[in-house]
Amino acid sequence: MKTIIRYELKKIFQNKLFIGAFIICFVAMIAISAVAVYQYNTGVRGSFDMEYLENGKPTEVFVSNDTIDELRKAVEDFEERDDIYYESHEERLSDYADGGTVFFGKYDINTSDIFFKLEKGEITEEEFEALMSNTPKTSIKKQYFPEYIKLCWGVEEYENIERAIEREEFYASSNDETQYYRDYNAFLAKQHREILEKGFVSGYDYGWENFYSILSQDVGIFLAIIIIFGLCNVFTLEYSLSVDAFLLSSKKGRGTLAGGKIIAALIYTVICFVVYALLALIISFIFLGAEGMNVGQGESHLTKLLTVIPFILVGCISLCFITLAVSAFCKKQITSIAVSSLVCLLPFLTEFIIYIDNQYISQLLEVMPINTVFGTYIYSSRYVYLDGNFIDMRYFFPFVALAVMIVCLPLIYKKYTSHQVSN
Amino acid sequence: MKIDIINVTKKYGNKKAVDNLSLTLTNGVYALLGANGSGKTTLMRMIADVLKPTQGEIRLDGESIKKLDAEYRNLIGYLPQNFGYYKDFTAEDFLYYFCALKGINGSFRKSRTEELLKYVDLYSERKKKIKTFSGGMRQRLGIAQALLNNPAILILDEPTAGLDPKERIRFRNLMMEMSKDRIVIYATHIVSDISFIADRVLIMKEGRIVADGTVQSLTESVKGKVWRIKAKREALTVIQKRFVIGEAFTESDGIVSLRLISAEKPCENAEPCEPDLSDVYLNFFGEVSTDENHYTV
Repeated sequence: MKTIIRYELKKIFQNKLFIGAFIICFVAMIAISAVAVYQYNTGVRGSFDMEYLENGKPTEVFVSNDTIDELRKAVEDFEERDDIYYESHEERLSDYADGGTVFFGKYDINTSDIFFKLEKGEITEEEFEALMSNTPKTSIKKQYFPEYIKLCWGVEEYENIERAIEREEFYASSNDETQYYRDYNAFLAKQHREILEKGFVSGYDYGWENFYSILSQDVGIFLAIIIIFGLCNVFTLEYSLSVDAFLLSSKKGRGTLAGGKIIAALIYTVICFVVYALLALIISFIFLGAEGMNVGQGESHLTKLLTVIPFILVGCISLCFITLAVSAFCKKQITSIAVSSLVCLLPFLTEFIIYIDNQYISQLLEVMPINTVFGTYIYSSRYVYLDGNFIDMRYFFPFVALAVMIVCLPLIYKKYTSHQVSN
Repeated sequence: MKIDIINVTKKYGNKKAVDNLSLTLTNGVYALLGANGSGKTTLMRMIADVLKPTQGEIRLDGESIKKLDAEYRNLIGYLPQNFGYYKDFTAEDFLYYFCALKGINGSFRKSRTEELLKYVDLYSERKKKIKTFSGGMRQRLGIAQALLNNPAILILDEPTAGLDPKERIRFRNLMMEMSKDRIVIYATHIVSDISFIADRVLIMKEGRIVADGTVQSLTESVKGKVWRIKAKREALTVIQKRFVIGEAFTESDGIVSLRLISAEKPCENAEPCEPDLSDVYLNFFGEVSTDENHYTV
């Protein structure tokens, strides 16, 4: 069996289709990842421009219902100081010659609150227009930004969650919304209240979280393509090259060989995944160094993102089985590539092609293996609505993978071992 | 060892490639002769267990080959008519891979591969990729593959296709050596390949065995039907329309010597010839020309 697996792997890696896909996809992956990390590193991805912070990093602050009053008071006291604001418009402009972030402090106008008030009917159109036409009187001087950011960072995040709860509770009790949307908002409000209750650490370094984010979202398509292109030929090659007669008339050329091919395909999938993960890791390390490696507390998504890794592998294995099943059925390479790509990528592409109104179909597509490889729905905490309950989508991925395996394995065996040589 | 082919039929749509064929094969060399589309390859594939009969059954020593499964496949060596290769494998890799598939492991794998590569004269090329091989070299590699497990049942479909005359003679000698204590089924339309080695000749036409016997008994059946005549070249087309012509060569200016099949003496100057297996083949498959042009004999 070991020799069979070794030669099957050799066939996969010698396939020109794989070599081409590998080169193109990994070059693209490195480029996209590098750009993403670079953008993050230069502050584009941060909540605030990192350049204003000492050492380019915010300070960690624990925020909860118990600590918020104290933190708020510190911010308000700071905002009440008159010496932190520009005295004239001209003075402000001279400091902002090269642009950048503006903090208005106590003069800040929250436009999203104004919109929400209008939506709730708390203000009239005229009042809305009047509020929106107000402009902040002045803004905080640039030299006070580091101090201000350190103070307001946690309060800002707390207030964002508070605002979210307010909106969610509004929609949860609105009769104009569907039952699903009401339930969903009630569920989100409950989750957010729990966060405020338990507290969270604000101001951590996002550095290594970004690595997992890249791994799970931006470049998943390339991993999927390398798996599909590498494996679409596993059985098809034997038919298209007319080697099937040799194989099927050999003692171990049926069940054992099919098993060997499946094991080789799984090894290939794991190799691709490891190379993919290592590339993301190396790119992050090059750009971020060891900064933020130890972070993973409170509100950080790191713990959640760590679970993305095994899920991506589960998704890859599912794609591997689907591609092998298609390959066992297709006699031509071009058919195998087209059908495998269509079957594997369709749930992902559907999102861009058509709007699906039915939530069950939409959720079914979301739990398909390709979306597990992308990891987007894991990262963004997607839930499946079942019988009035919201279940974390992650719980469905292993079951979907298992179902794919249960369907594909007998199909692969049956189709290949009973293949009739007729070319 | 005995293979029983019992009422086997293979249909492709409405067309019967093999039509209710029954046959028993014991140790010896069986030459399967037939024109293209006569059903030889289909029959070989069914014996090699890579194609299921639509009806009927194939048994080895009374046991269905379907039931014997891997045990049966362990006994066979099969060289299909059309086959491909993994172009980036070396000849040695290719045989090692098939050793693994045939259950040949350990040191025997290496010695058997080496032995066969020498046998088919590819040993010096063993490290070269198959994509650099000529058609004849690939055919020889295919032959080596079929012999790897020293098969008790050897199924060869047009094995000498692509081989040069020297290689064909070499292969024929190999078959003569190998034919002891095993069943060799050898499909071809090159009659000279099997004239000396076949213990039994089976002639297939339209999916059926139309003649079955030794080389001697079959040639006996066309005795008195084989003639040699001399004719003007201009008359060739007309003769082709009336008789099945075996061989023809130019003797002198405008005169050709023809070997033809005819139940009766075709013309005054015709001389009777000693028949051989190619005459038997022509008797079954030779067709007269349908050219409409007429010439004077």
